[in-house]
Amino acid sequence: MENGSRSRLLEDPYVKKVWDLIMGEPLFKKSSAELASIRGSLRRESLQFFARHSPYYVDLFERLDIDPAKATLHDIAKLAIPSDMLRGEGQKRFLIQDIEEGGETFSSSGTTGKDPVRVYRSPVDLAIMLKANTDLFEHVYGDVLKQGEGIALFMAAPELRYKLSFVAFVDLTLDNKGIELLYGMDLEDKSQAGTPWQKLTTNKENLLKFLKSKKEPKLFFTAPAGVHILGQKFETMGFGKKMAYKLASGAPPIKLGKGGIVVTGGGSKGFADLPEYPQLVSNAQKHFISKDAGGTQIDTPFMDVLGMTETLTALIDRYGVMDKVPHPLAEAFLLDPMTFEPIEEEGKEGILGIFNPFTTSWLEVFYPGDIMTCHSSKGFYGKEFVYKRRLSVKEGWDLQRACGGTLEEMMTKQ
Amino acid sequence: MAMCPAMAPLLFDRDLETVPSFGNPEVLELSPSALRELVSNAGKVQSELSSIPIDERLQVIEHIARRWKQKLDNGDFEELKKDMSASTGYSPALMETELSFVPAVLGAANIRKNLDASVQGGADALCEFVEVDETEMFRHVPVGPVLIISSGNSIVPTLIPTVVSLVTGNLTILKPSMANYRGVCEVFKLLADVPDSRAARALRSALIVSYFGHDSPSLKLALEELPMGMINFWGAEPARTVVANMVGKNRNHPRFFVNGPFTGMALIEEGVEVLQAADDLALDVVLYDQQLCSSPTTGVFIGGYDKAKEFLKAAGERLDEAGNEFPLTPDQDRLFVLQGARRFIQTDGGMVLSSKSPENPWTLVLSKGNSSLVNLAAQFPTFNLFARRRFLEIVVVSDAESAVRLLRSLPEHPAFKGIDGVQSVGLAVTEASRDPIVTKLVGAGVHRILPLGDMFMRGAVEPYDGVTMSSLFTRIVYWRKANAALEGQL
Repeated sequence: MENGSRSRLLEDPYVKKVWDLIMGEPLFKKSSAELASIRGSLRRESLQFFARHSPYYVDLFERLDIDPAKATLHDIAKLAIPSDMLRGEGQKRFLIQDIEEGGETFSSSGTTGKDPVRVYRSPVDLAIMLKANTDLFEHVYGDVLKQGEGIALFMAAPELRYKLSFVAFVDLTLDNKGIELLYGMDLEDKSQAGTPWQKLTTNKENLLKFLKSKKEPKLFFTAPAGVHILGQKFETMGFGKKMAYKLASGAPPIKLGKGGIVVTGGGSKGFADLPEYPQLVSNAQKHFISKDAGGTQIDTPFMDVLGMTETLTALIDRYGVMDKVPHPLAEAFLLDPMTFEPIEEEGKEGILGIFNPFTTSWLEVFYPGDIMTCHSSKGFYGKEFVYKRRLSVKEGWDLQRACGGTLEEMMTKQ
Repeated sequence: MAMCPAMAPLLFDRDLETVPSFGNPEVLELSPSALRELVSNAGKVQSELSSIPIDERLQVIEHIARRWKQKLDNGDFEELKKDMSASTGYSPALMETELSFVPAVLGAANIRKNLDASVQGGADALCEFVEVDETEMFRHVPVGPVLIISSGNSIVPTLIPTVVSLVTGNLTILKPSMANYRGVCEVFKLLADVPDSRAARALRSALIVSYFGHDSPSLKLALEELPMGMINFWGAEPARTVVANMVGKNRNHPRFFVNGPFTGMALIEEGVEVLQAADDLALDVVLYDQQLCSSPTTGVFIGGYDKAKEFLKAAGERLDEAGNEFPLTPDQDRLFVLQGARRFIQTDGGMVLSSKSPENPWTLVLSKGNSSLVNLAAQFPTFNLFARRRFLEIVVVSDAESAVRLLRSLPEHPAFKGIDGVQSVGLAVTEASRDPIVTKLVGAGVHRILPLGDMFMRGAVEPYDGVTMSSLFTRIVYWRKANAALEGQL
């Protein structure tokens, strides 16, 4: 945060404006119309900022017939790139000329077998990422994370903090709030090449520490599969083992205390047979116990984070309370899967596009390949998004071509 | 009447053993012992067929053509069109067009013209000795048995070599693909409807249509052991090398000829009539969705960038029209990849024009001097030449030398991985430039030079990837009748 506040980029009026908006008065108190108007002006100013800082964007806007001063959502849709383009060194061409060093590079998990997506975040981007995500998290959580109160367990390895942006965001946020964060996994063999997910093993010590802790609230961060597998493990435990486990850890059930919550993220990567999310929540609520602020036991709240390496801010939902919402300044939109034009109709499936105008290192507008719907809401954003599925990208036609021609030897032209 | 279940060999009432195809029990193929039995009778079958006058053989094929047209006109092939469209990914409208081509391909006059042009001594030399020079006679005899491992995604390219092999007197075993099997079978089963005659019986006894799985013991036997005379393979790697290695083991040393994999290039020059050239290009791109070895999958514009932009715009408008006549079934996943590729090229410096219609998803790319697709292959490996449909890049260059340089370098281009070279060049150039450009192309490895808009079209006398097709399936028996004076000839 400190490095960000000292960034020379803050001398640029656009970056200063974005910084002040993010760091200033809570945006969630503004009306959805007011926020939409702010997003509209950021859209235009952002494109002008990138044209000022990179001839690449001047050329790109010209070729796409976009006037930054008059940019519409349709123009933003024209600029959206598939996340696949950020694999390997793909982001480089999009970085501004006067990119600020001293930031961090995050990469995707690499579970698809392709080069991971790699995205550089400058110090000012990191500071904005921390504040914006914390604000969004607290809004959806329904409360503030109080300084120094509570404990969190992240079912990830600490090394991933420097690779995966979702892990980094949680780590930075909790660090900023003075909340102890335990990592529930270890990397089994750090020297081997390969993707990090494949090498994770449980850190029993940290798991026990979390389970036995008396601190409140307890925040449990995991992939959906983590909750599911833990629940299955409890259900298949014999009586004797369950008793022994309970004596050692106090669980099952896992008591998350006042304000306790389970936060999932990362989708169903690597697991083809996970139950649907509502079923998964319902199953897990048997094993996770929470209380409201007054101490009354409630169904444990579940939040799900749709965050990917290439987005500075996530979309977060709270199960049963609100569907996924982006940060107030982020522009989330749906594209018709056939025409790639923005769609407005409620309930119609579209490809999610995200534009983060507060990212200053590159023009962050992309579509990761998730099909979603949206509906209007009375919340700050005016609409909420519902995850449907991920596009499965098939191979091309695998038939052999009809080599050699068609009308061939015997044809004469009519 | 011969029966032709969806995936069983077409045997014409012969009692030959069939077995489930390896790895696909619902598909029947000829068993190894049946294949051995068939090939052991090849001499007798070919001798009988070769003794029949060529015009009688052609009349049998002509009869198939006429029956096909009748059935087509009666609407008997509606289901076939739907099935073929589903199995090949082509527009139903294109399948309709393809089926309408069949009678012309099987027309006796066209085949005769081809044979007269390609058989030294004329078509009659296929059943008798014909004097080529004083006292010197040629007779063309079949080299068979012939195994044709045919092209995969439409009917017509499979019919051509099969018919030429048959009428030149060969026992012909045709292996179609899963995708075109039914269509090919529908054509050849009409051979059973031809009124009985010596020629009809001989042609029926000379043809077998059977699918063979990739790991088929029968296919292995035919390629590696049986006394085949010719293996004609249509397709690309890795199958080409696998088949070549198997044929190499055969102690009978059959001929082996590969057709493909090639592609086509459009060459447009500033100064030609823009609308006509745009119209021609659109037609060549849309017909068969660039899946033929003759289809233009890349283009060059010789001239200024602004003029090229004008041409691109006109070509886009023509593609809108031509493509809408052959609508494709939209596919979300494929459009997602296509859109990603378009965005990649745009952000990589290329200019992209594209369709707004998911049923006609054409894309035109304009690049200065060099291709903008070089980095595309690394980022979108599945969006390869075989997956791209109605997608064409036009590179603007200043002169014909640069155009030919791009043509020659195409096999090394990462986005064109898998091709041997450019087979067909479609020209839209000025009168003044035409001959010098053709001269340059002659030495550039191409097989066909055509007017743009005509790339898919084959003339009756045209050779095939540099050779006449009849020469693949025959050998010449030379007979000198008398001790002629041959002084000065050797």
